[in-house]
Amino acid sequence: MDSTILFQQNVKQEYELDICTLLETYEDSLTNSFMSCFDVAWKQFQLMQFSRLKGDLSYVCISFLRTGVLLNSAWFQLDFLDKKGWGNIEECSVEWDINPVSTVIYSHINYLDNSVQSAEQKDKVLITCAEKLVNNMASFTARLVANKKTYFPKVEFRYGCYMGEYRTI
Amino acid sequence: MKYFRLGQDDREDQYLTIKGLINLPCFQQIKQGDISGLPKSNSYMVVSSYSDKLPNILTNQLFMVTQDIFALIQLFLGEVDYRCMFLVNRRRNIEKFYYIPQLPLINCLSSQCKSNLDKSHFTKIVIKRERYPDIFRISNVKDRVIIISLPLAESILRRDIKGVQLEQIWLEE
Repeated sequence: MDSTILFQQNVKQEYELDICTLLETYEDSLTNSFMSCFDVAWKQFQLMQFSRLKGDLSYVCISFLRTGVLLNSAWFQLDFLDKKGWGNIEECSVEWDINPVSTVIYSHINYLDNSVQSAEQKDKVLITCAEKLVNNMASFTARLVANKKTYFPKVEFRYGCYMGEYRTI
Repeated sequence: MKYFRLGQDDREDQYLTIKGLINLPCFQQIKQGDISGLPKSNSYMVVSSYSDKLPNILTNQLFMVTQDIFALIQLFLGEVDYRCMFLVNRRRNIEKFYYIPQLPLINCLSSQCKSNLDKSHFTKIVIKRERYPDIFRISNVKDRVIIISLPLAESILRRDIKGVQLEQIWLEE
């Protein structure tokens, strides 16, 4: 069997266990960072509303950033959008730092570094792991958002790739 | 909005050189980012590479992209002027068709930038806080600095493109 496929299978097997337990382990930390992020973004949005740069809040998009994964910055971004959506020139976005979880994944990839044939392959494995985490985080994020929905009943909460495919949560 | 510098992946075995570019009559013009002097369709250029695959984006000598990236650029920028080039490496038996889009040239560097004196190498790129096109080239510098926006960077990465390197740049404080 091709060594690349074999390696990816090994990573897949390890991360099937790891990512699920990772989310459980760092649930509190992720919840806290999400809530503070949400509050910062909401305050920012209110200021923009006050300056008449934004209308009523219509969508909250929680977006996964592949650039964040590759450049070791924030993996998620919260965007507060009015009816104009992405068309509005003024942006209200805050980065959601999932630091404890992302650090574990980075260190795990570095640990597996010897088996990786090239830097490009390493990036691919990292993105694959991150995408898996993002899929697993959908239900977790939905639970986080459930609390906020009671305060924002008219707002649609979306989860997905930045300006890509979203699902309503 | 976040912006990134788009580059060619030079890590490990990805190194690649296009031979004979300097012989083109309008080479100096092309180096400055103006492709108007280049014929619409160019005969093939010979490539020397260590890899068996040609990347989707080339930036080191000329900014060239494959058809899928060019379609993406057109999606973000609209109709753009372009030239074509065919790259061949007979030794490794690989060939690829590339597009050379005419990118908008914008002089947007901030005084907070860190570079050498003739601006041929940047250690930290800072641009003025304005709204820019989703892809453009910084004008009046020796280095080939191509900047893309976050939406375009994410679109490129979603498409599993090979040989791309991104570097975050900063907006003026």
